[in-house]
Amino acid sequence: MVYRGETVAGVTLLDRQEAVRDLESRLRRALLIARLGGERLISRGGRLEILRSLGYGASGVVCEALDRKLGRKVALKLYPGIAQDRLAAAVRTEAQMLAALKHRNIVVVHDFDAEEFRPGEIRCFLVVMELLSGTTLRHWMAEPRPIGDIVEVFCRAGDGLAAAHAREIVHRDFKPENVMLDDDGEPRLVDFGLALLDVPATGQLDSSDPEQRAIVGTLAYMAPEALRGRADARSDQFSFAAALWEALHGDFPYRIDDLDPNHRVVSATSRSEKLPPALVDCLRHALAPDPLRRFPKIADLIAHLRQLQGELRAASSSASVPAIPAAINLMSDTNPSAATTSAPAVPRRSWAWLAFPAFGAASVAGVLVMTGFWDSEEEPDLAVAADEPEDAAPPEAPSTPPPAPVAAFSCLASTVGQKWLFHTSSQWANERMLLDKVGRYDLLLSPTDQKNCRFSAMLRKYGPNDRLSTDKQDLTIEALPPFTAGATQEFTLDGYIYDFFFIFDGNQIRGDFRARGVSDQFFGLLQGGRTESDRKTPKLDDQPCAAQCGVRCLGAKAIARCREQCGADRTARPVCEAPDDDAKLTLPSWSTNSADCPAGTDPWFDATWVVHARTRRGEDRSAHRYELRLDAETCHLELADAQKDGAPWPVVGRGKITGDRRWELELRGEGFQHTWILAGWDPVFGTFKTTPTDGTGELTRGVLAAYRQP
Amino acid sequence: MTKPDASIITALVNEHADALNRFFRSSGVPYADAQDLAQATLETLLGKDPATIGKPRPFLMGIARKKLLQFRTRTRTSEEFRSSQMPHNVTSPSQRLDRRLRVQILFQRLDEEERTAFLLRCEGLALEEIAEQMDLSLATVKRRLAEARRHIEELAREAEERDNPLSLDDVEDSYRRDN
Repeated sequence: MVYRGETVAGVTLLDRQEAVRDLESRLRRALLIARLGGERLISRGGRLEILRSLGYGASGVVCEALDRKLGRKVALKLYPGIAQDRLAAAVRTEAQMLAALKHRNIVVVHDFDAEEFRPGEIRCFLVVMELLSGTTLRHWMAEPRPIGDIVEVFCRAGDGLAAAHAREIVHRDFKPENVMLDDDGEPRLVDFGLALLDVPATGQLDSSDPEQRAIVGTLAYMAPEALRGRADARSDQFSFAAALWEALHGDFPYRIDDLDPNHRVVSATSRSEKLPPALVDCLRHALAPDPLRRFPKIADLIAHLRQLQGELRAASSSASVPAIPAAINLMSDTNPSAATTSAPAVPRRSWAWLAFPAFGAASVAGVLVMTGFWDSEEEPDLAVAADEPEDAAPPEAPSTPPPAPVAAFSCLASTVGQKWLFHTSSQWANERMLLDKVGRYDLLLSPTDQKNCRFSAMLRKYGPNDRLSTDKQDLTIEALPPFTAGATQEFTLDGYIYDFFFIFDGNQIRGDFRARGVSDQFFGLLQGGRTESDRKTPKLDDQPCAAQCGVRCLGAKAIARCREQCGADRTARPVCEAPDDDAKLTLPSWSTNSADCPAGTDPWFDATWVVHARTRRGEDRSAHRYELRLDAETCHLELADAQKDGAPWPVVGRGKITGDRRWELELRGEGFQHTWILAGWDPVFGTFKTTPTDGTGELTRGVLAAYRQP
Repeated sequence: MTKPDASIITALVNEHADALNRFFRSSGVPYADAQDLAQATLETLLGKDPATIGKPRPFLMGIARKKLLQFRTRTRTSEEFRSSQMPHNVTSPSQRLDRRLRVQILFQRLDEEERTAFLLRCEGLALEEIAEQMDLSLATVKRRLAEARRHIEELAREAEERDNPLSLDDVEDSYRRDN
């Protein structure tokens, strides 16, 4: 792909592109004329018959052809503007070396020659290759893929590069469009070393001039030295790393429209935060502007990547990467079955990196960096004011302590503890900026009435730029089996009212909160302990049943009933009933209708969902329980089965996930149409609207809470 | 059917093949299928009595449009395109440099009727000819064209390429020259 009109090292790329388009146009017309007239388009010697044109790229046109001598279908790549008499010996030799190259990650080259096809007198240089019927890596990258799969496929393509480099053949144009995935999912490099033949159409081929030979490749992927016209094997390494970076990040590490070689330097991107740092470092190494500072050979880079995969697979990384939309690759639809994007999955090794829920959980760090809300764990604790009680107890062992034995509850300060340090994490919010937000808090307790377990509680919130917000309230602590104790209280901080529920469990503090502002609403969890290192970012599924209730159920009564059910069983699962009569919910105002289908969405939604609905219409506050069996396919939802209040519900349902944690369901039946709009993956809250299909206009509205059945 | 004269075939192809190709490609038909549709369109034209045809280009584009609709029914491609709700950043970063690709993506985001009307106008058909070939009233055609133009201007100005926006002229130019 070339940048129209750009001049690189004196050659106007417009000429090259024009020549290819001209060839493509003539070929297309010759094929049409032949077919309409019942003729065939055959090479002068009679050996090759062109069956179909498959597309074209920056350097040539690709066709499907029949090798009439051997009776097999082949792929042809036709290059314009080179006639036999101009073919330099050096080019022939290199083409021969290419044909001798046999590696499972390189397309097989059968033959090459200058040819002429008739009727139409299409003259060109062509290469006869194995016909591959898979898709390109570009199309493959259009689907969301686990990091492990992406790295694995690239590594195999890299094996092909390494094998060619071992024979001193340089690709010069490595990019996802030049990697085909065959029917077994094996990546095969195409257009290998053939960039040599991309000479200016207007000029003579003078292989002794390195400038002329070297200005080839796709600008976005070219190394700085390649932009200067001096490409070698290490430029391939750069292009490879740039393509892998693009696949993992969704964008390039540099501005691709800036063709100044001095500017082709990796800039810091926030998205790197979501990827294993060792992987990013490895790629940065390979993207060094000075070729001497990259890996000595691409085989070294590949070996390093494979080693990283082994290590990272063992760890609990759970990130995947957004898809790179390939959509319509209009120029080079080199796959005959054009419209499909589903190439076979990588067959060997399945990578366990994509864990559920994949969205939200691992991205906290990245979001935090962006929102500037993260305080690093190494920051020293701020000095407490003189009149607050100091914690005299020595610091406890860090990290995850074994579950504390249930201490006999006592209102004595030494049992409940006086200073608690924790982090919060919001699990659901109606404002994007508030979601996944991590907060840092201190809770300082001083007893005021020990007989009745009353304390004065100061809640301190750390904001950006060392700002502190505090609020002081009275707190009554009660026994809370199986934990040590619990307490609830509302605090007001920064204009938000936080309804906190604290669980004191030995030396750990857990719990949840619901916060509301003027129009904002968010729910979250908290986790921490007595020391700095006890502060943890709470994950929903790791929290006690009672804390999960506070986030998953809608309304104080629903939460209370859920907590009752949790009882004293540490392994209990939260069960929410219908939202409260007066449950209020404001949905996020989604400004853009993003249609990206996030990674892991389909398997998440392909399940049974229990949805509780509370009607809010006039005096009607009825509640219903729905059980929906959903099928999901690229973010489209189909209703497979439905129950309402325990009985079969005869409705037809379709829906879609419309990005950014928003999904919708349309259910039709029994004279009504139901529109459900839902926010969140887990927890999920939403609203519904029911209208009679005969248009009598009486609308029923209400709130929803949805729960995925494991 | 008797084989038509080779010179007639050659003349037809040389005159119309590129227009058919760009029309089908800009309507979102994959490359290989576009070649098949072009062939089918010309075959249909060759089967007609030349005396019944007025101006060949509008007539041909009318056939092309019908072939496109048949293709849609066969493949439900249009539904796939509509329901895939192409996101704004549907192109890969390296593809965004290419005007042709940007314009093609833009076309996919139009409704079928307004896009077809716009493309036929780019092919030089008069409004009445478009109305006849699309089987619509003249007023409807005008409305579709206005919608298409407004839609294109909105899409072309979007955030993705704010510093390098496409104008209506760019789009028409790209359709005619870049394909």
